[in-house]
Amino acid sequence: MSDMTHVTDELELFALDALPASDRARIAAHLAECPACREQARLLDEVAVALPGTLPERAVPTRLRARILATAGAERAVPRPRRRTAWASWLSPARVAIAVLAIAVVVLGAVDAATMRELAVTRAERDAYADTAVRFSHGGQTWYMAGRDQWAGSGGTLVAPSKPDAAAFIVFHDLRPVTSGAVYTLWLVDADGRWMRAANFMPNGEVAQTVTLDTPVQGFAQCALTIELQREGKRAGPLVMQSRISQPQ
Amino acid sequence: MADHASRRDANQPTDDALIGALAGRDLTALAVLYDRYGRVAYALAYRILGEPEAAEDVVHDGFLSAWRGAGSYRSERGNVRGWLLSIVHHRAVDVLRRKTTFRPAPLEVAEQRPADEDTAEEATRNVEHATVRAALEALPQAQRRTIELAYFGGYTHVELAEIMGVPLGTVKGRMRIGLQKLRRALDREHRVERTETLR
Ligand SMILES: [Zn+2]
Repeated sequence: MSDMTHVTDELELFALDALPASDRARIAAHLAECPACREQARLLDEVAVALPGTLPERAVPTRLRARILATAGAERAVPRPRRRTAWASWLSPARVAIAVLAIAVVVLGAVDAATMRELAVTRAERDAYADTAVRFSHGGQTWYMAGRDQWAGSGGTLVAPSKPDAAAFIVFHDLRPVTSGAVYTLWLVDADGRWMRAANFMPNGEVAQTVTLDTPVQGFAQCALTIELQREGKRAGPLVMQSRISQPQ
Repeated sequence: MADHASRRDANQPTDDALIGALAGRDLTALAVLYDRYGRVAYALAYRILGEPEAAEDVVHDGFLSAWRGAGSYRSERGNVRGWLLSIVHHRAVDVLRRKTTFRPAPLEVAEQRPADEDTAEEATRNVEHATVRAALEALPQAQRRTIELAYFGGYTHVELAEIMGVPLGTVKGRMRIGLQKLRRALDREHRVERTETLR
């Protein structure tokens, strides 16, 4: 599965976007697994994204700002079922704290709070957990999915904040790399067994990875993660993990 | 990075905070992010595509992609400005490559575009990476052309080798040496900024 031939020779091309899509995907897959190449790629990316800063700016059409905000606002306005009363009572502050810690422990594989504090987590990981905690403070529900079969050891916690307009998200941990061209696909399954694609994403190679859902999870019975070769259409790939996500009424 | 973040006053939300708010579907955060990086994103898209409408579409789609995918932003891979500009760059190049009939004229260099479309005040005020720009201008023509044709022209390495009439290895070599020089310029720029901050 993992191709450990380093891609050093192609990182300049990658940083400048001078590769066709197929090569790009191959390099991205390698970077997901190789910290050494990833660090080099990051340094080159820094140079590449300095290049736009060398351009004189142009007058931007004033409508563009409004257009962007309108599209984003329309997406946000998609009605989400409100269950504030049910969820608000679900979590006391103490339970929130315990739940936040539980997620962090699950994600880090730490045994207790003291160990967790001592862990020299990367900035990104700390951000992810801080983010988790912030969103958690709104109260909400969580479900843990454990990796099956060859994916034992991977897992993910689905968090559905009670705040009506806050997006649900999943904190995955220890996701394995996927073969070139494949993606992880997150599905929401309704009570009638219909599978709806909620997100496609690539593993980022880190211990923890947060994926935000555009779709509210309310009303769905299960959530599942598979590996797919197609970015759209029906489920075809193997089941990596799954959980029931029924809500209290 | 010489982005606006380093010069912003402490009361303003950091870029990372804005991304967090974006993931929470906060439209105000999106507006602030656009106000910070919309102009440079548009300048980039316009430079690649050469048409205002296409550039506008790419910037629109890029910011929407950030809005939807804020959860996938990883701060250890680079800062928010870089992340956004990478999204916009990638999309612009995609759009360009799909238009098989259209290729930008072999663009010599950015500043040789007619300056009348930018007010003189804007042109001087808005060049973020003055040191990098100077370093780019100081590169040997072959290195500079290779980098610019790739990054702003959207050419792949195979196409570059063809249009420049050199082997692939030469294309890569020019990029490598050119980018190393720009890297050093960027480091100098950072050092200057740090010194200014300490004052
Ligand atoms: Zn490597």
